[in-house]
Amino acid sequence: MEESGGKKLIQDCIGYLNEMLDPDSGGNRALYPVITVFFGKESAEHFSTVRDTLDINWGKDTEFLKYVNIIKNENGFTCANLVTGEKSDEDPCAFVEKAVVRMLGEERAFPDKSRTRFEFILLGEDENATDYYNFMINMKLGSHYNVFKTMFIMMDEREADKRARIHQLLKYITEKRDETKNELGTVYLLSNYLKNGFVLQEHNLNLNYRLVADLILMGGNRGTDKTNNALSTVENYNTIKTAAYALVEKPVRGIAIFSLQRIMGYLMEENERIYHESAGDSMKSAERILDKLGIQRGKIHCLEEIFRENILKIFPSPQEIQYLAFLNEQEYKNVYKEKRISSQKLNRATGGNWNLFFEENYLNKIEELLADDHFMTDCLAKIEKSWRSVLSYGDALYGLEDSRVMESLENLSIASSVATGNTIEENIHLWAVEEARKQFYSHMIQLMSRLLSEIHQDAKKFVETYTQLQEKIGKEAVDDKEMNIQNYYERLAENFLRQDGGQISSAIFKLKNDEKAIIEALAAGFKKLISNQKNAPAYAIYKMSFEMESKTRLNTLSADQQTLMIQDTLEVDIKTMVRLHGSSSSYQNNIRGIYYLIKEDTEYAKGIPEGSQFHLNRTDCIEKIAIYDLDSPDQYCNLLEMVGEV
Amino acid sequence: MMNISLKQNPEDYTIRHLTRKMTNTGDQQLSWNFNRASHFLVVTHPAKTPCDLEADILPWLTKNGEPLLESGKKTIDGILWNIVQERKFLAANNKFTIPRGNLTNGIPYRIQIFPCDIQDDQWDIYQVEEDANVAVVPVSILMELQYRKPLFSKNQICMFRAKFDVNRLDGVLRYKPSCSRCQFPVSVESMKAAKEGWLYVWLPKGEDLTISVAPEYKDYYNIRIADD
Repeated sequence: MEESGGKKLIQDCIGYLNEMLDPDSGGNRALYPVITVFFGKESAEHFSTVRDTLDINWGKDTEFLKYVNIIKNENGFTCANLVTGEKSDEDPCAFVEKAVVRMLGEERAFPDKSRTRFEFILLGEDENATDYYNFMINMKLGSHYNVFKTMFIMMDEREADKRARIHQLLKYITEKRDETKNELGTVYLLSNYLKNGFVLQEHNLNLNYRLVADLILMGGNRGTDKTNNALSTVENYNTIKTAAYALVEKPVRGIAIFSLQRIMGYLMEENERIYHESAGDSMKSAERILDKLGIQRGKIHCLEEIFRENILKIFPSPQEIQYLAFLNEQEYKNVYKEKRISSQKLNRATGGNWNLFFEENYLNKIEELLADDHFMTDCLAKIEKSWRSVLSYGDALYGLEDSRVMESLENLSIASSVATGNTIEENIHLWAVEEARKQFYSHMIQLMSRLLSEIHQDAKKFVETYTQLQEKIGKEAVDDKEMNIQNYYERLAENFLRQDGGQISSAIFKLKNDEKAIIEALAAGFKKLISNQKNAPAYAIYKMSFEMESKTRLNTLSADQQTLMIQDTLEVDIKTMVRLHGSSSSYQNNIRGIYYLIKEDTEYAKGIPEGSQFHLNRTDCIEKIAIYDLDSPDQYCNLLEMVGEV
Repeated sequence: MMNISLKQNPEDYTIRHLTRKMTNTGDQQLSWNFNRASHFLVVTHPAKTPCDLEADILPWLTKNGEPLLESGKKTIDGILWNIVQERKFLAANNKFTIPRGNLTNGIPYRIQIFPCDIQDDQWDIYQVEEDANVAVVPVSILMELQYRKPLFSKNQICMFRAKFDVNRLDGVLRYKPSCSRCQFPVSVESMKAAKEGWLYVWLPKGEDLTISVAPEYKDYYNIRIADD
């Protein structure tokens, strides 16, 4: 499913904020080759969450990791490389093996190639979940590559249908477990319905995929002290597990959303204000627009140019007129006595031959040209280009709303040319050209009036698209209504725009910009905001770590208060954050380990018990993960009981 | 009441090798080959009068088809309608003649022939592709052309006139001086108003003038320049 415009924009901006942080992995890297297989189309929607998390923490080695999507179809399976987009209908097992072999062939990556880790992500509610499960069990690569398998069964328990399908899958695994125990590997059951009753949805669903990425990371990390991995806790053959997860982080999402909201609101308000201030009353505004469009004193600049460059040459030269047939010699002499002569007089002297010549060589010629689609398309494209280049967004939206401009165009009284020739032929030719010019004008004015309406409509459409995008971003802000974050970052954005808003505004407020182009321009504007160098002290906050950011933003916060704030999230009873709501397991007895994923030299890391710290170099967050075995000591196994009522 | 239908069957109902020639007595003799037809509809109309099968011929036949079948020939508003039986056409060795008196002198005619199948009350008229069923009776326009070279002038006067009923030449004639890139249409009004029909064109000495027919009438008129 394609990400909606608003979501994509927010995601891009979050990406820019993450890039601002220290990108160094701090010595962490992937110890073993890892291939992550996403089963089904829907699971692959979370690919970027998994990949981004591993990229941030493992740094440069991540380019060698493999991400594969396997989708069941009528004839079997379709495979895709999620990084390159390359698709294949070949046997999925062979496809996966090729990816594994490529990783094993990388000299510089993966210090330990004695084992290969297979990470499977399967949505429990997928209609083909049992097929995917069987595929995983029946892959015959285990002994050859010393495979360590982990399957993450992600459970979305928001709808009855989905719960029924999850139930079926768990029942199936339970029934098959005895006969498949040698191939099962580790299974994590991760539901979006938490022990404490909270249901993860919308962007919060990504938290479970971030947890998956963290578990992958912990199971095969080579840290700075070379022992920094929790493999034995994270993985065991033929075991069923779940996990609890708590996260405090720099509010990048809130920063992105509130900044974007302010950028969009501010620029729209400013555009309107500036236009009305500079445009003056509607009469002056109309005159200014007419002036920009080159409509002045009965002439239209671009039409004059086209007529001069493309049309004049289609008419006969003035000298041709001397070959008109006259009624007699006297009429001829009478005509040539004068320097100027009216068309009527010439027509009388030639017995109507002049009119026929004029119609055939002037009027018909221009009519033929006006009926020529190719010419007209070029002509209108030229006018459109010229007009769009001079009309601002404000002119198109507010200026053209007033009917004065349109009326002035439609009721244009075409000015005659004042040019005169040296000979009678030249003068009569100029008269004929003038008549053809009037015909050209009257035809073109209708089309130009339509073009102006289109430009006005484009401006209205732009506003509609812009407003819709604003609403979409506003909707995303529902969970992030933290007044302090909002006030702080809105103020920063506004201060920035007061100085540098003009350039950003002109990139965004282009009439032809569709939603995609607006999003690109907004993302570029946001990037300028967060990398603003002009007032570095104030804008450095975008680069700050999680701890520094909150200290700076809440400048009255003491160190103790800050620690308390973090503890409020991380030090609640961790089992309430378990990713299973209904399980009756006693988590206290089954806990395999609790880890803080934190940079070792941070303030909060000092208070963490020894052995619980898992050093990561990222500074935008602290994560806490607890891992639980769900199997009872007597090996009695029923996944449905483990999960509880789904 | 006849039921008249327009049909297409280029395989069976077709007109081929249509020729026209004027006999010694001034009649127009038409000859053609065909595959199938019980009758032929022959429509002879002035070239300048539009006569389209669907727009003009079918509506006329709907009203006048039966009397035409009975009489075999009708002239209405300058258009001559003939219906020719296959049997009679074959008996005349694939020839059909329009007597001289049926056409007006000085008017070019266009003749269209349609194969028909007429059975009881049903009259099917078949369309023929690419004007294979069209013949033309053209007209020659006799022109007089003279040059006069005044002394001590760089120019000469070219005089021309049509020895023809000029009322019938609306939009037909044009001329082109050899020193010009343009065609000059000649109005009927000027030919009528000029003394004895002579029109005057001033050309540089050494240049000449060509008289021609407008492209749309080129099949219907021939220009013939009278000897001095």
